[in-house]
Amino acid sequence: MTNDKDNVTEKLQKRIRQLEAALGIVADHSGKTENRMRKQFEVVSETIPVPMIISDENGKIVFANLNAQKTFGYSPEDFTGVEASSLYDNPEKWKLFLETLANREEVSGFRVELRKSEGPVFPAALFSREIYFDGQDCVLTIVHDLTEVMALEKQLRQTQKMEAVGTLTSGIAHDFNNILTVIFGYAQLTDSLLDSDKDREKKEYLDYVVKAAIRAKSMIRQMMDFCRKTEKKKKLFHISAIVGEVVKMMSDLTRSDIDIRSDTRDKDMFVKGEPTQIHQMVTNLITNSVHALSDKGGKIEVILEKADITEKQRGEILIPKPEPGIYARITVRDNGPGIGKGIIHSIFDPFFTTKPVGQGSGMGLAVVHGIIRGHSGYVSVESGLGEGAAFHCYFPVTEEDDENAEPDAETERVGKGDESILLADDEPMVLGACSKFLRIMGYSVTSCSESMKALKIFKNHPEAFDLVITDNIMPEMSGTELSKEIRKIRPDIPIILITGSLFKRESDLKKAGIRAFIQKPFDQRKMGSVIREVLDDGKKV
Amino acid sequence: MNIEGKDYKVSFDGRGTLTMSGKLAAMTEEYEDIEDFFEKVIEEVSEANTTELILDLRELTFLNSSGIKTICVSLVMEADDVDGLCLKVLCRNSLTWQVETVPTFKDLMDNLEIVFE
Repeated sequence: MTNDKDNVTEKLQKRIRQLEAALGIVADHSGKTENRMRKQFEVVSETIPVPMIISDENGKIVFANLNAQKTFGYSPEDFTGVEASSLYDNPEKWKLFLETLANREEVSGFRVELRKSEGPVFPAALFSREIYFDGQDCVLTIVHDLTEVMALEKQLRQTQKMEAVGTLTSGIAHDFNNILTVIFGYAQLTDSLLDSDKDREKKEYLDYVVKAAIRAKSMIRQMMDFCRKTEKKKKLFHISAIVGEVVKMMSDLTRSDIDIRSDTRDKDMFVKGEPTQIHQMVTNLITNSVHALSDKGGKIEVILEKADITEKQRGEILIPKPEPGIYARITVRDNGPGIGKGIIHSIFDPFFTTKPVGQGSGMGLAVVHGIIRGHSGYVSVESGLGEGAAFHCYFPVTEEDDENAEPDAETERVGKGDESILLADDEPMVLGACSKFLRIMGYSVTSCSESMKALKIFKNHPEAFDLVITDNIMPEMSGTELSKEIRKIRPDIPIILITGSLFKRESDLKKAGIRAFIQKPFDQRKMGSVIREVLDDGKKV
Repeated sequence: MNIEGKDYKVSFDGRGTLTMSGKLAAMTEEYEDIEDFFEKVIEEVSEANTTELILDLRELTFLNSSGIKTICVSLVMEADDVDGLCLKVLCRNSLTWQVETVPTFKDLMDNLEIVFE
């Protein structure tokens, strides 16, 4: 009996020892697991590249990761105890956020404006869940800073808008160039019929017509520069020479109470592109500054310097955002009235102008934008009302030697001839004007308003023609297609393409066997020069 | 026989191998089914006079403290009461919780062998 009792006692004592040991094992395991999970949480929270905040039931922040500290500008000590509601620009949004969380148990993509410790506000999307943290019910919130996303969205919208306007503009430009070709052509033909003494008054009126047409031509040229999609042959040039030339020209043309100064800090920078376009871009910017200073006079600085765009500098208002690298930066700065925040994002839009009706086309800055974009460059604007304005234009610097830096001497040979030309254009008025030009120059012309008919004529008499001149955009068959077909019949026939649209790629033109192209609107002199160039080159061969 | 939860599986092959796999993070009351399962295993082993019971934990990647308590009290301590039974625990070196905790099971049972791989 005593032995049984002893056995039971012994067993119980053993069981108690085992239970104590088990308790120790469980407590030890529990502590270690908890530590491990806490460490994992810390690693995760410090690694995720977004701000993470945990607030308690009363809305007090009990944890904020390193990214949250950086984003909101609080030290770890200052962050703990901050009211979560104080991070909201609009406290009502905090209430709405809590209501949403209570109703749905989680919040996903809650759009809100949040406030940093120093005051600036930024857009964000919040992702939240209720969690149990450090022994209490809490709210875990991940903050997705939308500043960059919204800037990119804005940039995308701007690009799409520019693309749409570009397409529209190129269509308008094409039609306008046809009209202007007719105006120039018939004005010139009429002028040639008038006697310089007897018809002086008529000649004067005609001169007004031509001047207005020249103004229209210049506007169309600007519109086309803005929406140019294909590249003309680019060459290396000293950008300082162009800038210096424009500053000198504009200084001479501008009234004396507006002081235009040039500050070239880096002279030896080569840029690849079209010097005439850079010329136009700087002219447009200075013209705008001159206009801004027209009431009170003032100072315009044109600074050329080397700029190393770093990540930090990319945050300015840049259209579009540049890649880091070495750029030639042209800054045109004036101390005029500046640009209001409300319109600063519209200033590069085509047809946007603050000038009175009739004084500005609204194409100046749009052209600047188009030219810079065409040179793989970037533009940023610094301005505010009463603060003047500064346009910083960045162009990638090229290190290569200036192999093509010679000036582009475009000499137009005015020439006459007696060769036979097949002329195709679907616009009867353009066709009429061109035919007359060519006949006056002495050429024998077969004109045709349909491309298929022109091909048929050529097919029947391929040896009857020395040259084919064709418009590009025509129904049934384009000028490029017509050229290809004609070249199949007679590969040696020289072809000139006339176009009212944007330049096609030179390689495409060569493929179609096109020797040269003439941009509408053109005059008799231009046409004669190109024809002679093509025909005489053929003879040399 | 076996018992399965959302993320775990406990099975006994009837010959002497008890396998636990997956992640076990249940609350105390949820372990009652596993405790009953262990009771049946010990009964079978005891009735069959099995000399070695293998507890294979190699695929059990996580076990919370309630799970540790269940294994300690309902399996190891009960196995210790079965005369002549040796408990062999198969573990994996790469699982931290096993490295840290399983060796302490020796405090509960003398005839216990732990094998890490």
